[in-house]
Amino acid sequence: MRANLTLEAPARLKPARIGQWNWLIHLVLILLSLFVIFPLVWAVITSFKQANEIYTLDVIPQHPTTDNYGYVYTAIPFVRMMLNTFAFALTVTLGVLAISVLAAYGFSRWEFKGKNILFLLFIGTLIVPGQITIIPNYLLLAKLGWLNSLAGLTIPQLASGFGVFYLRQHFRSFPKELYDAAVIDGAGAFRTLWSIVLPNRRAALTAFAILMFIQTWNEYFWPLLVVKKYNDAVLQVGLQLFLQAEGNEWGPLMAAATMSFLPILVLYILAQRQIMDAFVRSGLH
Amino acid sequence: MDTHLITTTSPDRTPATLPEKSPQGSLEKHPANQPGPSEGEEKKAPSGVRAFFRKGSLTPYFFILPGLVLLIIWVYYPLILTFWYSFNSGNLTKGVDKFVGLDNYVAVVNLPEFQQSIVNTGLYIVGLIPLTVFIPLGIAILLSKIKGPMQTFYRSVLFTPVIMAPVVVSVIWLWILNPIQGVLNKVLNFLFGVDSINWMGDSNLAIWMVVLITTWKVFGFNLLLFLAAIVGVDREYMEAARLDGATEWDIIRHITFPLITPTFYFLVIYTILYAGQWVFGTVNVLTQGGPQNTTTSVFYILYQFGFSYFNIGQASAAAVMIFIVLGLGTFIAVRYTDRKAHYES
Repeated sequence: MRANLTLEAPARLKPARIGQWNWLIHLVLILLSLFVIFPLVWAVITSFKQANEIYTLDVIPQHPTTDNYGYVYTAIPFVRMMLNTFAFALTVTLGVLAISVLAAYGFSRWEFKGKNILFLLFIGTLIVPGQITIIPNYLLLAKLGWLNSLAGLTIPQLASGFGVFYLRQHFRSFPKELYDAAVIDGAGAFRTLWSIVLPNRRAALTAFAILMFIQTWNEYFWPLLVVKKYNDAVLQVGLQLFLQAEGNEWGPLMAAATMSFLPILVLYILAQRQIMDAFVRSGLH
Repeated sequence: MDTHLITTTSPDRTPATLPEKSPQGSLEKHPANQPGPSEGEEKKAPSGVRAFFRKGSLTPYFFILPGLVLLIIWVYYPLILTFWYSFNSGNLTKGVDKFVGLDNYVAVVNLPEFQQSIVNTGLYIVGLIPLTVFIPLGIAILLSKIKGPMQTFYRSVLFTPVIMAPVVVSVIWLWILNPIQGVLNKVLNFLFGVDSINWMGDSNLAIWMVVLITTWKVFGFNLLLFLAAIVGVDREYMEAARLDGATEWDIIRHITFPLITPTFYFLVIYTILYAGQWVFGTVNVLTQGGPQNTTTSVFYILYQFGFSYFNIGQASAAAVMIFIVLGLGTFIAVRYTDRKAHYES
């Protein structure tokens, strides 16, 4: 009798009990989703409103216009800044990828003297926030004449232990037998990396590259120090300069904001799962 | 960009796997059987420097070298310089002037702005922990009850802000919070007849607005970490508990909670150590530390010392103190969570 109750009753009641509350769970999640999506949607809506309509609560613009976008293109070198950002993000991504792949491979394939200390040097960079070293780095940059330049934007960003930290996890699991096989085949260290290791870790490398690209696209702190002019600016800095110059032009500001987040949003929509996975794995905010 | 992360010591404790993952490529198609150029590594008897090189003993160093050189130039050398500058006076435009001992430290510690920034950093932490750790934990539990495409949908939507740039996010929120024409005040006025509130200009409100915007930005990330940890909890445990007559709350309390505690500790520590940094972009775009220094964090004040007041010595002294506290904090946290994780497993 009792056994019957404990074994059957809950099993029978369970689905009903969760189902009962399902609508409430959905309600909470829908409200939260609205809170998350609203600012982005509101930015897009505002960007298509005419100046005299901007201050209304209308969700659908009465007279949709692209004037705000036109204004952004004429007022600031937006295309130029977009290209700067693209060049910045792509260069840093490829650079960090190359450097990190080499180092992660070195660390995961061989045992050698000083390995632990060297690895610690790479990982140690994770607890040195960029702000800590800005003064000397800024002075060095000025001395090299790299302020307002792509070199100044990108090269210091290549110093990152994060890539090694991320990729080593994937490289470490690479079977030693395959290395042995490569040696027997007479493949050199670099050739082994290029034609055996990399093709087998394509998924991890892609995920890491996407992650780097998004992070660099959104990077703000370092460009803030390096560039002061619209023509050399990346979007994040340009947007702030625009805000300071035209603080109350909300239509154009929202148009610029929309164009700044759109490329990343499209990338996200295309590769949501990989992006979420890469972010969560890496612990990057 | 790597300023926003922390490492945990063992990878298996990092709550880092999404429900459906498979990022490893297949091993089948590796071209290991292709003939490669022979380097004759095995043929010659090793002797001297040449042999050392031949045997491949130096090979790993070559692979590590490019990264290492960059780290030394752009991270470790400047780190040492920061320590050195902190004992010197100097102006950002003219360079280091002369040795002043501990003067910068004394000056910085006694500056009301610096003290205020420490208090503010504390407030950021106090505000962010409930909003970005406790609430996401609750939401993750709810989300785990929903299966299939709807779960994927909510997850994707809620994660979106994580990939957004802080500057873009800040500019958009500035518009929403605009005291005169912003949509928030308009709606509040329409619904409750509330007078316009100067969200970013009020010294009591501004810091909480920065907390709100930061929450909006990081919520999805923490949610996903918790969700991954919950989904990682073995379903068999839950089924068995259910058969034994456990209620939903029993299951959450006795099965889900203990298994996600590592994630929980990780996020609390992460927030304590990095809250001051997360708010940097938002603060610089929205308030520049104001009104009346109520939104500065320790990272922001250090930036101001350097780039608003051009004071190399004081900026470096602040940097050294922050670095030491952060380093010690990380060290203690890693040790503590290590022990914690061992007890629990």
